[in-house]
Amino acid sequence: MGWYERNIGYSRESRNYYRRSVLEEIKAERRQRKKQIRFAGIFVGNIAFILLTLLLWMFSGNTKHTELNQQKFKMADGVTFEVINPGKVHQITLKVPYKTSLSNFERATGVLLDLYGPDGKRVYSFYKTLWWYRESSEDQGASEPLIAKIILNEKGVYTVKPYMMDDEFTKKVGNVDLKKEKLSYGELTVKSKRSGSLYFGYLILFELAILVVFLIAGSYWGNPMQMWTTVKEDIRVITQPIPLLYFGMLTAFLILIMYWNYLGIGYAGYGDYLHSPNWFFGSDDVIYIG
Amino acid sequence: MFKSDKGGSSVDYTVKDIKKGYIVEYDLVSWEAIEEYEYDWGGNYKGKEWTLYDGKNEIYLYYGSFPSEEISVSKRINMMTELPDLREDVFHKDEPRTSFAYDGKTWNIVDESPGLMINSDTKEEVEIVSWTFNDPNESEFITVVRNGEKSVDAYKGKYIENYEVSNILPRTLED
Repeated sequence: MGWYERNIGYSRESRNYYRRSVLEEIKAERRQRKKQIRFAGIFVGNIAFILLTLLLWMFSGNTKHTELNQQKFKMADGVTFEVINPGKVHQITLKVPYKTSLSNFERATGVLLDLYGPDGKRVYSFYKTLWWYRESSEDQGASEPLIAKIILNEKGVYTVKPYMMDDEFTKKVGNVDLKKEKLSYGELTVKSKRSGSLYFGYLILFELAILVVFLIAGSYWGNPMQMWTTVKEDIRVITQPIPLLYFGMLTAFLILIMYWNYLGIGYAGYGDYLHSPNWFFGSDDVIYIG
Repeated sequence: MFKSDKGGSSVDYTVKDIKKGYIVEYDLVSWEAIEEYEYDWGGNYKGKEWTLYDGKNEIYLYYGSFPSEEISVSKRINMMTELPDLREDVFHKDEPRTSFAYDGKTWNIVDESPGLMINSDTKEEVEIVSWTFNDPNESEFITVVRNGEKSVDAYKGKYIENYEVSNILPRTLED
């Protein structure tokens, strides 16, 4: 008795049924393979694009020059810094003395930062509410700093003047507490960036969403290992029309994002370019007054 | 008859690299691959077949790589005149007998494989069932292939080594 007789049986019907089921399996395998070939390139390429986007995001916010580094200054007098890279995004970080243990500060709810240009005129103001940081912080330490990002278009010496506030937008010039030596000094860091670093997060989110879709729908087009094997076996699957279309779209988005960041689109500016940050900008709880 | 391009070296190509239009040398004759088919037997069992033409005759060169490399050359047999009983078996019982005599030898069935035959150009898929019979030395075979209700063909061939197919070159027509 042969394999056929043992496993399939003698009847013509059972043998034809077996042949038919084998053929159906082969066809199903081929359909699955076609789907994998169509989508494996997207899956693997998408991971590569996630890494590429992360790298570009990381390097896009690189510091080109540090104008001031943790410069201590008397807040009542303000402090100056020189812009030598005009047209670039400048990050201004202001740390104010803010001790929860000092009762006189209880009503100082925020800090206002005025920025004056080389001509002495005010170019922009920023405000940050500090109060809730004190409430949520139990370490008796300083509040979180005010970090503002703005494109400074003109070379020259700029001045920063901070004001402690006891109510939002009510300037409290000459705060009594500033007379105390330990409370009268702030700390300022100014850095110019090579380019902006907006929009990358949205692209990463999109790429991650595609990745999640692939992982969830693994039964439809194969699990990650099968996808990887498909690409490894024939790298040309990456050049299939659908992957190429997808990569082209991601590349176009990346180029657009880098170009916008190079121009600083989305950041606060002033002068001929006076505008507030757009809604893509993460303001870090800083109010861009203008 | 044919001219190869670039005067390239044949050592660059082996049987598995052949494509439609390539020129190959087998049995001291130059052949052109005029058709290419892929075979899918399920799992990793896949193969390729080329119809080779020398201007007069057609032969079939088959290449399979799994589980081990298998290369064969075969010729079509006229079943109506040479194997009519086998043909009737397939039509009336949906399978051939397990052994038969032909060409002075006894041929025994060794394999049955349902599969798909795919035209590499048109990607048209045809369902087939193939039965393979070996001679007692297992150096030659007869394959009976059924594709459809009333279509059955048989091919007699032998297993060969890679080096027996030589001077494999892409072809360009003479200007």
